[in-house]
Amino acid sequence: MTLLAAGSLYTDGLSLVFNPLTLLLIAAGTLLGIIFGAMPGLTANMGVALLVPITYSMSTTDAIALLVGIYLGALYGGGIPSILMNLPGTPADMMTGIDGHPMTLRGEGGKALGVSTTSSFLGGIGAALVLATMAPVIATFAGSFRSQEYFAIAFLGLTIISYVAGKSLLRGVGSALIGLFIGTIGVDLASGYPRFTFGQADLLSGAEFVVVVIGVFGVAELLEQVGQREFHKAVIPQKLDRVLPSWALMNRLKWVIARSSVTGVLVGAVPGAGATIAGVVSYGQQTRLSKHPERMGTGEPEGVAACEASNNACAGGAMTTMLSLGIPGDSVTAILIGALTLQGVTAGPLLFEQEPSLVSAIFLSLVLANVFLLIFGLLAAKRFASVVNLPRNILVPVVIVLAIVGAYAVRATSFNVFMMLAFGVLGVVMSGFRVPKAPLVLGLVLGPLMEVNLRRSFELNDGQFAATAQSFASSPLCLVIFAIALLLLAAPAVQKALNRQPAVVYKEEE
Amino acid sequence: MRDIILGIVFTVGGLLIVLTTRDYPAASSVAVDPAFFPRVIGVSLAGIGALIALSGARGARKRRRVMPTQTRTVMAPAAAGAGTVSKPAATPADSGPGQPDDGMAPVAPGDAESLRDVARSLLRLTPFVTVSVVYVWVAFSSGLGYTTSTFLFLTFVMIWLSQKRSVKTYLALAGLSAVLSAALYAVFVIGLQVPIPVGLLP
Repeated sequence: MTLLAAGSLYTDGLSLVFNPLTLLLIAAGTLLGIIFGAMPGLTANMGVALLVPITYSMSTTDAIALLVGIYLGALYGGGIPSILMNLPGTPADMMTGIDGHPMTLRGEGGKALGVSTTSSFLGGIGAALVLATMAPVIATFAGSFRSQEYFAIAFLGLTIISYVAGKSLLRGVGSALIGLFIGTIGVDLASGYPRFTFGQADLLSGAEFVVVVIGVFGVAELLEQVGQREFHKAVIPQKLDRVLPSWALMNRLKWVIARSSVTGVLVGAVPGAGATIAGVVSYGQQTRLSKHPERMGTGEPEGVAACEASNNACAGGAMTTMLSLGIPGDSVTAILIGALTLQGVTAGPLLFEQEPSLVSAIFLSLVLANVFLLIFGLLAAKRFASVVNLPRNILVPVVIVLAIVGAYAVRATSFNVFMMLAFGVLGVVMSGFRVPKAPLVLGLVLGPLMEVNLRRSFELNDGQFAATAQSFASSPLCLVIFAIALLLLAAPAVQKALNRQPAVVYKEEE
Repeated sequence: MRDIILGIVFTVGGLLIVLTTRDYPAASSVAVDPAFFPRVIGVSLAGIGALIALSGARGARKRRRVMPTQTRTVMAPAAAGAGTVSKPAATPADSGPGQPDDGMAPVAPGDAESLRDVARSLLRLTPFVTVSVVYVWVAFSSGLGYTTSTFLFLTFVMIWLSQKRSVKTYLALAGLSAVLSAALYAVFVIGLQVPIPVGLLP
């Protein structure tokens, strides 16, 4: 039965996707994403966020096609400078360089890039297949969710991101709370009362999500680069020989790629956990399972394959959660949900019933983006390397101008642009105080979801607190989800008490 | 020290949120009460702030007892050694803006210094942010026109941030920004039909 459902998932969207414009957009998006991701300081978050305003005037299929291309391209592109210069272009590719860069120093940079490309491709395709088979199943299951279950899942999403984002759980929770607060700005739909608008008419419909994200992630990063006294420039080593990996090498790596893809999909599917965690976990898993663990870190292709397959597969997993539950699987899918909302489309289980061809089109775009990634990667990896050297004094102003016009384009008001700049400064302050930014974005997305469903739960129980609490407690799913959430919140403290290091410490931006 | 200030900011912020909701209309049940969720957020934020400030104070006391020769290597471009997993080139999110950027030098994480660095880097940003704000106002509200203001802004900033100081570089940058401004106009105003107010110049 699942396969039958999947069958139409493959074909429904064919006509939507297989036309010159959409194909061009996927290719262009992938290429743009690769370039974007390859530039240290520009992240997948930024790339997707900056281009969301452009997608407003496109059809929904085209919009998602472009953004999916950028997403996957950036996750792969970040591995290029990581391999060549030990400077990850995106945090998700952090672990790629640990084995990739030593390979470059040995003159095997081309081989490393080839492994990275094919692993990303295979990981991404595997994840797309999982999306095709699992998403309808999850969506049907999620169709039985009441408001209590939705609240619980949203709450879980928040706790996870606070747990893994950054070194301090407290600061992560604080960041998420700031995001929740920003989400309450605007007219409250249930009571009709404007909250925290301070008389500004522009805030009545709330702080525009895309504007906040571009500000906190994009503008903040650029401002930080401006704030540095000098700009760093690294030198690319000269030797880049053949790129396409040999059959023998790929055969050797097949289980690494398979394992890492599965891990990536699972991590991505979990609300709040994204490509960076996927990369770190898969690399660690590969080190433990490798036949030569002592060689990991000295230039083993396994390390490159593990991280790259995983972070691409993660995108597929995150999109599965996004499409079937309406909950972001990671911070980029949070932005994608915002993009869909701009188009008037609500992600979630209803999407499968109401717009099956759109879901199919998204799946096909995912597959095609991976194909383009393989093509571009193998053909032009060496040339990508040189784009990384773009001087910062050109890069920063151009991207800021793009951000400004993009923020203006959302609702044709310069208020949003000033707000974006303000959030940019906030982002710099947050970095200075070591407050992670990803929980803020997730709080912004999940907050309204939490509030609406919490209130609906109360309403269904005539506003009685006891009856509402009972309705939560009587649902086994809710109890399980809350239990997991509490466990995750308590885990770092427990591990510290047992004198063990908390599981993952990494950089949170995608 | 940073944590103490952060904690205080969070606590004050949380209390302000709760205070702002005091004037909100009373409601019969949580379902229609506009103040409920914000108040929960405000109280939680204040609580988290207190915890952060406390942990910062405890950390500062601990650090004062330890020798002040702890160093932390920032932005090491060299490959990681076998067996240990270390992070290559940290992005500013980790070390905060304004860390000394000569690459390999160890940095003593004295709290007062880091806080001064944060403040210093924010001050360093002020001219740039001011210029950007002026640009936004000029481009979208004044009569100068989007393309022209963008051209001026791009040229100015590119020269300002440039490390090479020669007339030839300046002219090249001016040319580049002219091309980019025209491209932006083409893409956003013509291609995507974004309603940018027309000025005296394009």
